Amino acid sequence: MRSNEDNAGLPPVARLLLAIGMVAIGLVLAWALWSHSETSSSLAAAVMTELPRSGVSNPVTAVLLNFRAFDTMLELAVLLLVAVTVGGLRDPREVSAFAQVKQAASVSPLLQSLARDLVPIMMLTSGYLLWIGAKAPGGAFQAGAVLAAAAVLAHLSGRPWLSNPGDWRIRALLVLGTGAFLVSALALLLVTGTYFRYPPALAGAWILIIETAATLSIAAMLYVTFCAVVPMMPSRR
Amino acid sequence: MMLILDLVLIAGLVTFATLTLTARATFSSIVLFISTGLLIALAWARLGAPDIAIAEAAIGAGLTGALLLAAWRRLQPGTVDPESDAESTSGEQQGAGDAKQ
Amino acid sequence: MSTALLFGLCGIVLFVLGLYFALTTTEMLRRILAINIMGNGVFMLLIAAAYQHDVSGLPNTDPVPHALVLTGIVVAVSATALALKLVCRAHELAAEQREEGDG
Repeated sequence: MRSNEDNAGLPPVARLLLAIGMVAIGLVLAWALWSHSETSSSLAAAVMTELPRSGVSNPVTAVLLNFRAFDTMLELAVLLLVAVTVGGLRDPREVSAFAQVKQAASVSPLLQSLARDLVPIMMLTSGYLLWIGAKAPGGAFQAGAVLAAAAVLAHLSGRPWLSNPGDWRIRALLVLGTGAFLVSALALLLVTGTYFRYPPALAGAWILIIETAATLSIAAMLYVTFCAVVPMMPSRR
Repeated sequence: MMLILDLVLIAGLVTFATLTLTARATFSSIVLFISTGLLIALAWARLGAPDIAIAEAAIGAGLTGALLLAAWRRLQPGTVDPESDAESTSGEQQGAGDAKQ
Repeated sequence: MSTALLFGLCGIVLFVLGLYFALTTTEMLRRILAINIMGNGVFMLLIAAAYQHDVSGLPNTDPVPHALVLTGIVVAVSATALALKLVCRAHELAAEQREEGDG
């Protein structure tokens, strides 16, 4: 454990000591788990009693978007931070190469037809997951992930949704999620006097609006970071 | 019966994780990691967390895999740099571009 | 052996495996994979702790850890993307420096 700073090519002795240390950590953790396996500290009852007032009937969505909305807002802020950092790491010369992906004569026809059939279905699935998140498993995160996967597939098949990573539209989408949370919190501060206490009658619609914004934001962020990592295709073959 | 299924799932998870971390080639490592992600999605479904199973299947197996493979391709020795590809071409870089396929 | 305990132990094993390889490997991409496996172990521990049965034997899972893990998965993928971008950028800059050194 002490030697984790300079571990370029650890000698076998250090590896052995490290392995022994790891086993020790594992045993301590297992003992802790074992000794606490009987104690129950579930918040399920608390969530279930409050669930009718949250505006949705899926407990996970209720926790994410209502009971712990502040956490979710900060989580979207983390995503925004990552997108901004990745943008800052971009080589300025990359932008010119970026637009050339469009031509993409090298993409196989199989991938192209697959993307043509699958991308609309994935977008539909994303919308469905967003809508069903109020009642059944689903929600903003899953919908955003599926939407981002659709964008990635379209990108790989040579029809990127984004020709310039500095486009103002993509930037607007990136701040949309955090922005919607902030605006809603401030509006609620004016109306009800607290940041994240939704009026029960309007909570369902309110949550759906924020979730839609969060979905678009999550998808945009995942797509932007993917675009930053993906190698540029050779423009000429 | 459930216990046997649980044990099979856990054994598979630990095996795949070990294989991911010990595979010789980085490419096999990444592919095994994607498979581990799918097994983990199964484990979430088993543990009564379908929300997380959906997210894991889409993110852990899909997007992370795409990201890792993209980065892997970019880190290959001889990969065309985006800027050099945009601005200059030489026979050597053409060859590198073909080798990526 | 209850299901929660079994999967909790599995989470611990994944965490320890990931930690060991994250500390010993020298290849950056593999280290990122190891850290991801570590994170998956932590998630599994949380979800296993949330898996409980009430007195009637019906599953009675706690949604709060589920929500935490859901945000955790998304944060993990963004952290992975950031790490990959940093590794790629470092690789490119090193290549540029080598070229300058050669020429």
